[in-house]
Amino acid sequence: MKRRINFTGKKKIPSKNVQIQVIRDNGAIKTFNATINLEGMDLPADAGVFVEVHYRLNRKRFDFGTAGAIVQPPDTDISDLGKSENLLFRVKVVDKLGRYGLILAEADKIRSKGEVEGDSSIQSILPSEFDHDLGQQIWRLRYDGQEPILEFNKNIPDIRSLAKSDTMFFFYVYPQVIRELLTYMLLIEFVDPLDPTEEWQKNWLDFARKIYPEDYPDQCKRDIPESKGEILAWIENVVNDFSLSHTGKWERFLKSFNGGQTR
Amino acid sequence: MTRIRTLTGLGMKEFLADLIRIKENPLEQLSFAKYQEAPFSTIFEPVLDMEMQVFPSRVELGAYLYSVFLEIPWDELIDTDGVWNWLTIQLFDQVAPCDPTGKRKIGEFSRYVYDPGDTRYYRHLVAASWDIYRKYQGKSDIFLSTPLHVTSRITLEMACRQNLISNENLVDVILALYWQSGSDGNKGPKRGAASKKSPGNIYRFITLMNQLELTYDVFDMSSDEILKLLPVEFNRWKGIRKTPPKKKRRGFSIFRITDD
Repeated sequence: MKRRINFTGKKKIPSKNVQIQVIRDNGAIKTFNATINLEGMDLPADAGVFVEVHYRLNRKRFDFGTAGAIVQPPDTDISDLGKSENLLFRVKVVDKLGRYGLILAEADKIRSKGEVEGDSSIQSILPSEFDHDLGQQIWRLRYDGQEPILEFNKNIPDIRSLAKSDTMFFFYVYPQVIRELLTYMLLIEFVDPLDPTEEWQKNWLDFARKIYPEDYPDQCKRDIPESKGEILAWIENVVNDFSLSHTGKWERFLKSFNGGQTR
Repeated sequence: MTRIRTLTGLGMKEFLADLIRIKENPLEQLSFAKYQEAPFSTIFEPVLDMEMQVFPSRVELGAYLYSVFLEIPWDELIDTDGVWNWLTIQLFDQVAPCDPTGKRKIGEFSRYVYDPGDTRYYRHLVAASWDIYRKYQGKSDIFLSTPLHVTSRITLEMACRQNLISNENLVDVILALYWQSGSDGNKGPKRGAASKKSPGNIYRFITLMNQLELTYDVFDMSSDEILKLLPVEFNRWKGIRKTPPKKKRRGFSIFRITDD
């Protein structure tokens, strides 16, 4: 077993103690909110708390006060840093009294969870993997882990890029992914939409509700057939509105049948 | 002048097939004409023109592309694989040149095929030249002073470590330690900087910074503070000469010993 020697006693901040939410305006990333919980970590109250955001060659740093008084700064502008699904966040707690800023605690490679104000990107709440041999299937959802994972077939050339930005791929895959996942959650797992027990369930329900806020369903009642029908109808409305919310992409999708660009 | 285009999905598949074909048979040629029109490419929007030329090094390529794409938001370009792959095709003779026997050596595909989601984006010979120049401009010499078909070891070692490549103060330190600016005509890495046998070479520096970054808030340090942090093995690169040892002084007596 590989053993690691922690010479400086640096602590790892549990990922569940850090929640990052990216805020968009008309689809473009603007700022972020961070909720950081350091309770029970026995850190000096005057240690500095910083959030760093990075993507490729770019990095920005934000001062979030001290471990004893965490305060989000008024300006968390990350509009020049790229797309949210690629942004990585790092939270550092630093001993500012020492000469060289000893890192006392850290959480690294955190991605934003869910997005605010109208964006219907599903990539941020549905982790994807591109290294699976799926025979002659393009994709499948796997449910045996802590949260559903969207698996793509590694044998398809350029699959990562297709999944991310190809408009034909988008309309062939993502509406059905949403339909299957919501069906699984509500009609196989019988998740109560008003009281989801897992974070990924809450994220998905929030995502669906932002897309289609009406007729929010109750938990499926197995002995009442109409209950299942109402849930299925709601899911269809979510999928329909999701597809309708990408008009620009749809136009490119239609053009692609004439040999035009699909990205 | 050439109007800039962007590869379609079909164009991308064709390019991959061409690369595979040339890799298997290095004497095969790339047909450029088919990539200048539909269905393999479309006009890039907004409409831009560029002059296809021979670039002495990746610095000149990066600088030129930076000027061409100046008005395009960075985050749009960085996620647009079609335009980078089309540009690679236009520069193919420079990014994958033929040797004297007419054979092309095709290296790792990430050097020619741009994938925005690939963590090895820095290996792309065209897109990375633009991105590194965009970020560091006059300081990018240390990363990009190579022919178009070459990625320097320094670039590979730094660019794969986001914590290092995104720290401008660290780049200033690297330049201070290992780069000579060439006022006397000697512009380039200092002799021995990239030699793994030299004490305090650049690989040692990167290893040290990686270790320090785990423990100390290096991102918040100025370049002077980073320089002061370096152990004595780096003194040579800082221009600190070894102090010669002090000569021992012999003691002498004021009393003369006489024979009585």
